[in-house]
Amino acid sequence: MGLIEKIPLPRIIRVPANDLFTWARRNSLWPLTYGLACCAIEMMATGASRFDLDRFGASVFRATPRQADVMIVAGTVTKKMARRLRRLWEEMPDPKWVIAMGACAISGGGFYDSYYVVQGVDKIVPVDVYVPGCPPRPEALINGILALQEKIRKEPAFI
Amino acid sequence: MDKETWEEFKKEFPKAEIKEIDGKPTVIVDKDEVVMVCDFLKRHGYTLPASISGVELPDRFEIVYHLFSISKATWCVVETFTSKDEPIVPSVYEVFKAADWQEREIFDMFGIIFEGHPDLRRILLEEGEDDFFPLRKDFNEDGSPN
Repeated sequence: MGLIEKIPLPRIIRVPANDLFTWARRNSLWPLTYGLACCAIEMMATGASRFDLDRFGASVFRATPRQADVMIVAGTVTKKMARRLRRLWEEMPDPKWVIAMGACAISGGGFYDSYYVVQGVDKIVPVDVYVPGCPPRPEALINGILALQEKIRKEPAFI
Repeated sequence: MDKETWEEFKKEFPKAEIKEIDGKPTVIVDKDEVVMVCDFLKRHGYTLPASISGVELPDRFEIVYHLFSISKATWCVVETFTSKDEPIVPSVYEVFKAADWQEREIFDMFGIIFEGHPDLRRILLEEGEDDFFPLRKDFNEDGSPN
């Protein structure tokens, strides 16, 4: 009963293809496990039961970039890791997005003036959403993912 | 170490300077003798090389070995030094296997070469970066970050 009964026969819903594709993309964002430092703990906490990323469809963390949609850079990026990060980002298939989580990923954070820390992951890959904090609370990361979903909703699905 | 062992030590290594710093007996030796000194101390109970570190002073590099004796619960510190133009020190890997990674870290950060080390390459920073020794005082002297 309920919603399905309200749709008149024949039960066909017509949606613009653009909206359908962006709906599918934003509601099943599969993140690439890219926890580098302390923000990874908060990312894990967000995926766990209390804060539950699964209700947004975003808790299917993939270990391989080939199956991932979004790369959540959670932690400090050193120059040694920067090369590998760029390579993994390039291995992700389109469409892909990047969330910079935490102060270190946004701008080097507390490691300003360090000899080996990249001052922000946007020096290596293009970033779509910045989630500030050190570390950001799980609610903040969820806010960031919702903001990314909003961004995807407005993007054209086909180029 | 008890008096007898110290007498034996002084006989074997007459050139070594013995001080007491922070309550720990400190032995300052030439770099040619450092392997023999570490071997002597290891035979007399100082089996745990808790920390091997590098220090940069205005005119030389120093390598400091903090050796701990588990049976006596005491420390003994060995210091050796090398010039800045030719920073080469014999490796104590034959005596203490733990020196493997510790010396690699000193090489990584200071550029001090350890002769006789089985696998001297960078351990924390990226391999293949020449002349990139961050813990030297003249690193990034112009004040530029990174």
